[in-house]
Amino acid sequence: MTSPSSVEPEETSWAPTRALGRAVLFGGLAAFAGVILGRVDLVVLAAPFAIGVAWGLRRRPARPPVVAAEIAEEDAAEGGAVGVALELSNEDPVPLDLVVGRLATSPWLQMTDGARPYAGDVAGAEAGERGADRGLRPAGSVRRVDLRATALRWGYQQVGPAVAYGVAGDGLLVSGTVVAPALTLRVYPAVPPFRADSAMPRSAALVGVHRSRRPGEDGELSGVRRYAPGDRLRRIDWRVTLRTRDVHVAASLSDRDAEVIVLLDVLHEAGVSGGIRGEASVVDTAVRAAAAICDHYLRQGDRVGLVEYSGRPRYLRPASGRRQLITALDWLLDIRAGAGVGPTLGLDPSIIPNAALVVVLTPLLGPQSTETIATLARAGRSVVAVDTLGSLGQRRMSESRWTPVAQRLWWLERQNLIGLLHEAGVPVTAWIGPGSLDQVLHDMARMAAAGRLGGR
Amino acid sequence: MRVLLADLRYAGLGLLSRVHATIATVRRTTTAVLLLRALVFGALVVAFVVSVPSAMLWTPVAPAVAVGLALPAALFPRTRAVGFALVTIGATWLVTTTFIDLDWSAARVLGLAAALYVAHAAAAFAAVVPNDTAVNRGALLRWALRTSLVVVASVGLGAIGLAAAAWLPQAQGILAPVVGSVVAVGIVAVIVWLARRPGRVP
Repeated sequence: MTSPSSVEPEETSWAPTRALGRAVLFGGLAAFAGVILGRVDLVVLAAPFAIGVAWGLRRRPARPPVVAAEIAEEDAAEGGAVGVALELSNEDPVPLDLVVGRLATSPWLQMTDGARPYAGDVAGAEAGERGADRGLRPAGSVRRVDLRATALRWGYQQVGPAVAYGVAGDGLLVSGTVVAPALTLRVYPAVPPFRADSAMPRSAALVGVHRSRRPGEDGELSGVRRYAPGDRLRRIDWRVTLRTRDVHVAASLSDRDAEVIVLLDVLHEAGVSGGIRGEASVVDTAVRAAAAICDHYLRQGDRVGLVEYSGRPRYLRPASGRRQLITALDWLLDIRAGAGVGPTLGLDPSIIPNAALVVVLTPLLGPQSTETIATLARAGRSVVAVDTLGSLGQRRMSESRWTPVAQRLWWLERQNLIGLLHEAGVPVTAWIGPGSLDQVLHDMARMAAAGRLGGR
Repeated sequence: MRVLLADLRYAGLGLLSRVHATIATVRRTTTAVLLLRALVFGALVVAFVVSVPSAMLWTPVAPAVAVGLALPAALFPRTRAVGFALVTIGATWLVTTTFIDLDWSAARVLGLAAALYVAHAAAAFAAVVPNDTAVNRGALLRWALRTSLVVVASVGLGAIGLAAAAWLPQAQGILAPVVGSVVAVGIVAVIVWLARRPGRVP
């Protein structure tokens, strides 16, 4: 629950509307003509205007209305519903004929019945003039408009500012506009379904779910070997022991956890984001994929860190647990598409742990991205590049007759870059959600094992 | 020639976007606002019909003038179109009852007063709500009640005044100046109050 925001309205006063001027003009002209010409009918024509003005101005409010915006929750998931409220209240003892309020929202918050102004009459404050005489602040009457919105895109979305004005005296007086500042709603990226095989090229600590190449207990069965001092009796494989007449034990591999670093290459934006219901831009894909990868590995007990590769690089230290998942999702909300300019000093590979699996979410749109990936691979890190450009790269453009040729050339150049990355030992795979990384992780695990055996 | 065609194309696109924006605005208009503007239009047409002698109503000019006065006021209630329509209809009444239809009935003048006030009140209300505002039904009903009360009170007082003038023809020369002066004093008081208050006229 977020507390409502409001502004002190003392600065704003009431002003006559054009309708008051019109009533005075017409009533005055008719009455004047009636007096001059001695015509009762003209006085009769002026009468309702005179009575209407007198009736409308008999009680004039001194305070303008107060407006407040409220959001039911501080955060929401992309595509989820959000409760939003617009509160229009009157702290003046004089009732207001109308309070017209409007809540401006981010374009990525779709209001259920459209973003429109709301108007309603608001009764006078309960404490009244007697309370005000005693120095009491009147308890304002409130009209509350409950609205529903759908969060269409991840990020920090603005709810507000809310603006309102009051109308009194049957439309003869209007207050100045009062404004309530905007509130911020955190919209977490949608986590697309993602799973990955437990194979990891490298594992790190002594606990976890990934099978390692080190022998250990309670892990996956790796074979049967002769008994050696120190082996536990419960691990004796009796069937093999009886057959061979020699004591054998079941050998297993230890389970380890892994360290995963997700590097988001947001140097460039491509495509136009259509929110959760529309087409995803490159940054959308990267952020959602990063959220999915974090969610998957953190639920497995692994340690996950994040790196933003842009003009203002950021780094989230690897950690594990649910708190890290929330921290990572919060961290992702600050991602902004860059203008194609990388960090001044480049990316220092030493910030990435040696044993970490580096998943680079990149659209591969510039040489800087490729160079960074190659640098990480040369520094001995296990790097997987996930292509976030998707189908955007193959979309046909028709600006001029040379555009398809230029596009074809660009595409070939990009394919060449991907080939070079393959040669440098960096597998490149497209982001397709579940199982995106399975094949490359299997290949990398096999290659890592082969490298170690060859070394021996 | 190519530049001209490109300019024309951009102008066409601009016009098209304006048309689309207007259609979107009309589509977003709420029933309450539409009702108020229809009331402004209807009341002004009725006022014009009442202000003109019946013989003149069947000329082709009269409907055009009625629509020409009522439609801008209904479409643009925040502008001077409403005041212009009120003053024009009042002046039409004054001219026709002075030179053409000298024998006007009390019902006509009371109907005219009511129609003019309803048009003014509806325009005042319509002017303060944007066209896509969702207006609370209770607020509309209470506004209608207040306007009806003013109309009933005015018609009642007007009927009494007209009856008194009819019963005492010799007093008509005194009645109009006296009542008119009272109204004028009230209006002067409002003007003085307005002049003392700093404010704006939206």
